[in-house]
Amino acid sequence: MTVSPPHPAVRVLVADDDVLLRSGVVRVLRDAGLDVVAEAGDAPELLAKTLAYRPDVAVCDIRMPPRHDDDGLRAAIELRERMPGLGVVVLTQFSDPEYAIELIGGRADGVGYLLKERVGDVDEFCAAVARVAQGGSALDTSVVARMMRPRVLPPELALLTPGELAVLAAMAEGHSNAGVAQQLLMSVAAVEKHVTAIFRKLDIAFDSAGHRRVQAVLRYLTSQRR
Amino acid sequence: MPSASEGTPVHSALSVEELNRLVQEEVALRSVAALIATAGPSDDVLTAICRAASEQVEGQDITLLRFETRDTIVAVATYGGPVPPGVRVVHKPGSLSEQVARTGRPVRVDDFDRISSAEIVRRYDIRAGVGVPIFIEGEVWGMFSATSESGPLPADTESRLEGFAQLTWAAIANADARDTLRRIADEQAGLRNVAELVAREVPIDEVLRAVVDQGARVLGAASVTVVQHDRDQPRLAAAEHIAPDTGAHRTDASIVVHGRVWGTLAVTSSTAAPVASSGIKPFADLVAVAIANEESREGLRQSRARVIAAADDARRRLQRDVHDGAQQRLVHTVILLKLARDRAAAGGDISDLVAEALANAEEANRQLRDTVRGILPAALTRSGLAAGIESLVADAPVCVDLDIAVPRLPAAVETTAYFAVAEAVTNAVKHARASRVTITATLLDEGADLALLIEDDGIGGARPAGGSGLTGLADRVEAMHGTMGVESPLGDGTRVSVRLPTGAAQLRVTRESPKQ
Repeated sequence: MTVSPPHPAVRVLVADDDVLLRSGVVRVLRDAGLDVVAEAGDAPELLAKTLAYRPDVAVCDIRMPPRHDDDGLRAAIELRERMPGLGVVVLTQFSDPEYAIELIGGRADGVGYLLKERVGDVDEFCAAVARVAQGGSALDTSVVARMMRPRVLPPELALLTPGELAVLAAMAEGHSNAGVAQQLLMSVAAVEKHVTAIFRKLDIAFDSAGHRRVQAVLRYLTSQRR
Repeated sequence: MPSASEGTPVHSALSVEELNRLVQEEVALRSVAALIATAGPSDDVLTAICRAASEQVEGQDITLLRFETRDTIVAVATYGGPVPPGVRVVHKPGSLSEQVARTGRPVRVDDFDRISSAEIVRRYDIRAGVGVPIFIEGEVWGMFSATSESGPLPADTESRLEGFAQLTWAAIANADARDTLRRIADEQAGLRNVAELVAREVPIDEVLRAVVDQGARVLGAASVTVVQHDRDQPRLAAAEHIAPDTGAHRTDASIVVHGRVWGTLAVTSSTAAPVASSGIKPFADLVAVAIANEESREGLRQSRARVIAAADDARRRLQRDVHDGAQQRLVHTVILLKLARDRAAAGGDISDLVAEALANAEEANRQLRDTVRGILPAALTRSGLAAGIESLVADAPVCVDLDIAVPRLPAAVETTAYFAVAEAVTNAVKHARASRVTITATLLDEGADLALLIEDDGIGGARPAGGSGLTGLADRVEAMHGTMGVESPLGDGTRVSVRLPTGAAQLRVTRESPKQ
């Protein structure tokens, strides 16, 4: 396995009320070379410690004390508003797209939504956390798959070919063009062609910040809400 | 004192003149009777009577007045007289009308200036008058008054009017009766209108509006109000004001719903006489019926809503139990096994990871078992109520005495009975701090009913209406057409008794009916 830490200098906060699981996550992240700077066991602690330690990324559960409802999600959304540079990865057992859509809000950068069992896929999990810390996105395959099965495809997406939809879904999971090519077993050039078509069909203008991918994903996600 | 001459005694011997007069009287009365027979407005009848009376006294002004109360008199009709119908006067002692009312005899005043008379006499410039009582069923009903704005009235005015008054009473009584009949018919129509609304189950406010509206119309009221009492502050529920409310004559009827006074229907009279309570009572009763209906409808709606909410709650609880329990442990198991897989691929020792994963998987399995048992215990579904309750109380932290001698019953009955016991035991353990619980289940009425009794020795004070688990239980029992009672005096334990139809009675009827 990876010997040299591939994710140096990424500072992480981990919040989960299940102590066993939390220590597992912390161990996995530390083994991969990420710097876990703080841990939290409930939503108020998540808020307070994130604001105090100012990590690059906060990894947190949805259901947490004190209400044992969606306290963690609420805290995550608040943190995204108060600290725009902060990456947030929600680690959960819920594969309902509604939570993911709510978390993302109007901003698909620096955000992740992963099922807890992904923690066991150490390399991918740690890569996703590091990617979100740097402003990327990471959506769980199963959540994306559920989003991909709308009974009626929204009009914007109806223009896309099945191949383009698959590429867009992979982009939503947070993959780069190379990653998409690897996942969908196609050439990087083919992926690039699809991506260009997606941008054109969704009418996404080229912007200096280069966030067209994020915008495409966002367009895709918000179309699910209707 | 006024000078009041006595009425001249009636016919001793009949002169031709007198005979003529009698004939005239007869003719006049016939025309009055004919008028009454045709269903004209009673005001016309009374005016016609005044006119006929006037003809008896050579065209003098005649006013028909009615004694309303001890102190008041109202003009009901007139022919030529200065006092218009509807004028109501409080008659002072010594006045013409007061003397007639008091003595029941004709009274003459030849010069009103000589007596300190009512203001009305001066207002209408009446100089002289004769009042003759009209009796109905032995009571002084009212009087004819002949008035003059000049000199005294002819000497035979009393005798002529007296004779006529005796003959007209029947006509007046009939007109009165017809009025009463019409009023009753009006009341009936008003009541029918309201009753139809009640039967159509329109919202209660609409019923109340109809009651005050119809009530004011048919009862001849100045105002009708419905006031609700059974809350912290009396609340005006509906009101109809037709005339300024003097408040002097008010009649109330209580609106009694399920044995408690819900409110009051109050009617103020538009005349000096109060409205009869017999007229109001039926309206109050209709309001009570409408409210009782609405309450039972509302009760049913709330009970249904609670049943649905309870089902939603149960689902939410189940979701939370699984999510926070077994699922969490399984997720952990998966993570640990993935870590082990990766470590094994790298040739590392995975025994600690596998042991940890196994512990998590076992814990998940145990929690799932508990959750499933909580949904519905296998003992209940497989072996019946007694076994189900035994498994329920096996781990209870209190001493439980069981006396459950019942056979297998329909699944819905067993399940409801099981939850009744579970809820009562939960209450005993969690809230009542009981140390001993006794559970009895027997069949009554040849198996038609299952009777459950759950008693504890705790602190009591359980409130079934308090939105607790007992409320949910009551809804559940009610949905099964059963009944439930909770006795929970403070400091003296709690007794929950439940009676559920087993369906056996229905079965028997179905089986036996072909023989009949």
